[in-house]
Amino acid sequence: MNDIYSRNALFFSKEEMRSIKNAKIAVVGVGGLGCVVSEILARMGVVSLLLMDNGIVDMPDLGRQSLYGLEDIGKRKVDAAKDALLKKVDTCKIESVFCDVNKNCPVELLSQADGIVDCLDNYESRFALEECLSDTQFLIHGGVENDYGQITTVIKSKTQTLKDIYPNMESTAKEDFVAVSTPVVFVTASLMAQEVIGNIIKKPNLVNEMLIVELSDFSFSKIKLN
Amino acid sequence: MANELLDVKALRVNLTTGEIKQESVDLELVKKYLGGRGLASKILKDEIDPKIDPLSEANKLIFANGLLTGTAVPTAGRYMVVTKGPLTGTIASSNSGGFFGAELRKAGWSLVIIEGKANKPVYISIKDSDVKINDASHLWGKTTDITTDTLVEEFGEKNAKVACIGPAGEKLVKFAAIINDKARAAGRTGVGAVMGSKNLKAIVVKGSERIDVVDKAAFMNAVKSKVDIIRKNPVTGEGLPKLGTKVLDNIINQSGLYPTKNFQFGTFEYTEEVSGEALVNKGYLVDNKACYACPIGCGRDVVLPNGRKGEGPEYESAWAFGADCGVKDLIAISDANFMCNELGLDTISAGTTIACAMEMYEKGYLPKEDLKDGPELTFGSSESLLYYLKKIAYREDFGDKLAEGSYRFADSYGHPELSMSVKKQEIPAYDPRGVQGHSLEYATSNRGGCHVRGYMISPEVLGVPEKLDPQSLEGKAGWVKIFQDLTAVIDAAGLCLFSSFALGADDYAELINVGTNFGLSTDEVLKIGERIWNLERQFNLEAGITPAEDRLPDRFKDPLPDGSQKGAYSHYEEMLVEYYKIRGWQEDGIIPKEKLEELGVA
Amino acid sequence: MVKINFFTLFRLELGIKNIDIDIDKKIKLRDLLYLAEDISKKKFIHKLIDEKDGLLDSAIILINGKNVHHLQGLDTIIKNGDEIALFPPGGGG
Repeated sequence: MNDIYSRNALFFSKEEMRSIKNAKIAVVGVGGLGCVVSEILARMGVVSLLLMDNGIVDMPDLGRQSLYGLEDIGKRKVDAAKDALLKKVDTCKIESVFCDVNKNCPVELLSQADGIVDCLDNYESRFALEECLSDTQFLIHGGVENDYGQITTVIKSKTQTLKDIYPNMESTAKEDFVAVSTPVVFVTASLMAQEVIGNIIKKPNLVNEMLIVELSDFSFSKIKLN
Repeated sequence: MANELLDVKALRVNLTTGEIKQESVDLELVKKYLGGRGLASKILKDEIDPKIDPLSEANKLIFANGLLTGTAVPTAGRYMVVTKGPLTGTIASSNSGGFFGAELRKAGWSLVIIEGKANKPVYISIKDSDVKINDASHLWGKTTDITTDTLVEEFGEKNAKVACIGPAGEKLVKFAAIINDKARAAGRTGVGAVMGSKNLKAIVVKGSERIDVVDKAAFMNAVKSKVDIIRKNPVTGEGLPKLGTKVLDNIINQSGLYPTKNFQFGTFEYTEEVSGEALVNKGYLVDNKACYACPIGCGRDVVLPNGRKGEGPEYESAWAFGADCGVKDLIAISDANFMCNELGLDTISAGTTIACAMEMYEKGYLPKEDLKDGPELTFGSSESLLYYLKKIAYREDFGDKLAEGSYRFADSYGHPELSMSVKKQEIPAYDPRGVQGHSLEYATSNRGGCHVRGYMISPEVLGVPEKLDPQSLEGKAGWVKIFQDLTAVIDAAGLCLFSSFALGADDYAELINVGTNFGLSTDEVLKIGERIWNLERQFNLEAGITPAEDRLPDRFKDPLPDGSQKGAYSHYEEMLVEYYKIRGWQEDGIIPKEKLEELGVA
Repeated sequence: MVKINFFTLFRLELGIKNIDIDIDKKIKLRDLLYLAEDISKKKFIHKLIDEKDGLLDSAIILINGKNVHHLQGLDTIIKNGDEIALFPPGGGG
């Protein structure tokens, strides 16, 4: 009863803990959302994590990207995140890939994941990522701006795709600086991690539903999608 | 994206003239041979005279990616080195995994055809379409690990991949390997010696374009469904990831097929000491390691108590240094494997050649003075194992004789019958007496003694796809043909043979079709395999390797002295007649003109 | 009755979470939005529709969970019982 996961094991069933352990999850984008999502998954016992990002840690990232500190400035995010995670939990196996989803997405690794977490910061990349998925993999989409965010689960064989939900976002250029408050990043990311676990243990909440998180008045609303 | 799956491009590098050409491969040829072993064998046969000296300037060395190499298809990280082999004189194709092939494909290249001979040591650097021949004087003589690190540093790309030779390739050791990613080997048939004969030390590559397919959505669905099948299969989903290929030690030993002391026995009393389980229990295994796009991860990441680190050993390698040499020291066995990777030697031929020398020494056919100052070549001596490996790689003293391979070595002392080889290449870790189909496979392999041209152990021992009686002869010739043809397809597609524990011919056909829209039936896909097989055979016949060489060493006509198959011996000659017939060949083993025409090989 | 749910920026600007509008016959989305503006006495249409009467890229309008881009855009017919959601999706990560 003293291992890292013992308190979670009191809550989840044995079968569920086994599913969590055996799941292969890809976290795409290791910025604000990706840092928290990967940390939660690692701490909960997901052994196999794939991290993808093409960014370098920069000063403004420290305001909301939980795995990085001053000493990481200038490092590749995927490398710094991997190091940080392995310092916290050494039982997971982390593969980190420095890549641009639009250009050289490692589809050979994505195809081995059970689920993918979209922690990207622009829609062009999100659509490129979605293209690489098979019909059966789950994708947890999250996005944040200001003090609000949204989350949904995409499974091509069961739900609308991101391209269906956001058809008019296709042309929106990648915005360099998105206004965002730190709490909404952590809250949204935590809920995304919850939905990842939900999908792993076959109890997802956001299949054909979108959750809108608004910290301005602490409201959480679900919109039906179909 | 410019890098399309069906845009099959070849890089032709002439080391004599320094000329570098970029060519496109005709799509019709791709439909007939897919890629890798198939396409490169076709090109080699068209472009060289099969009778040439393999180590002469006239030979060509082709690095060939399979059709699907570099895509997301599970295990699509394999490439093949095709050339005329110096060990056997046959067409030689040697397969390797890791990441080199996929990187080469992502740089846009399906094939690199090396011609001629450089007048001084060189290496080739490839960054997408930017290709250069560079001086390699500073790398000559260096081991493969140092060569790889140096080149990655010089090239300035952290994720560049390297395939290179070690001292063994430079010294033209007949069973020198090409090593990529430090620990993955295009091991067999001496392809490293051909590379050395061309003064080519290495190829370093960095690619940046992912490969696009026609219907991406359908492709990813097919890919994912095969990944799931592989992960759910007990062999590829559990056995191989946990124990690697060394999952086999105990199975094969208990089946009485674990060749011991140069195939004098079929069981090894210290198997428990050297098995895959021992590697785990002794705490040497740190982690498993996967090649490109591989959901299996059979690679071993090992740290020995003496501080030595590396990958492996694989089942075959550990057997060659272990049971075959009578050695029970797992540390020495693992170390021997690391040494072979560093020196650029084929582990199977290296271990079995030393085993052959040990038998000759113990039988008194090998005078002590020939060993110079070296340790005595007695079975069980791990000291002599490590000592002579190094001597072989540098061709020093007695090592120079061993560097010729067991057949030429034993023959030079008047005892060729003690070389456990077919077509001069040493046979690997399954005694053919206890598995009749596999013994026919050994006898008929197009590249000499080899277990990966039609792995009959799978049905005859492991029961995949169905369990066959290993001693039964009935139907075996047909099984061998199908296994050989299907294996040629898997090789030509650029996939790992281990995927076939979980996938069948229909799955491979689906993967090929979904990526290409070729619309091939499963039968048509197997026909491609048959075409490749016949093309290779025809090359060998034209090279002067007659059907008389479709034979096993005489030892295998004697009964196994021990183990669960005690008393069994090989009946390959009886099956050979049926095999030729099923292949549509003449009774004398020659391929008739009609067959060649039917397959479009002529 | 048709329900229009406003989220995030829209809600903040309007100060209301949703409006229920009774319609006696089918009505085009464009007309419904103008009707909603009249009833709520708040201006929000400029955040959805550009000067040329086209849908803006930055806003998402879902009718019963389907983006109106897949329907007839502003000409989509709204009927009793429909539920409309308006929100600007967060793009950051």
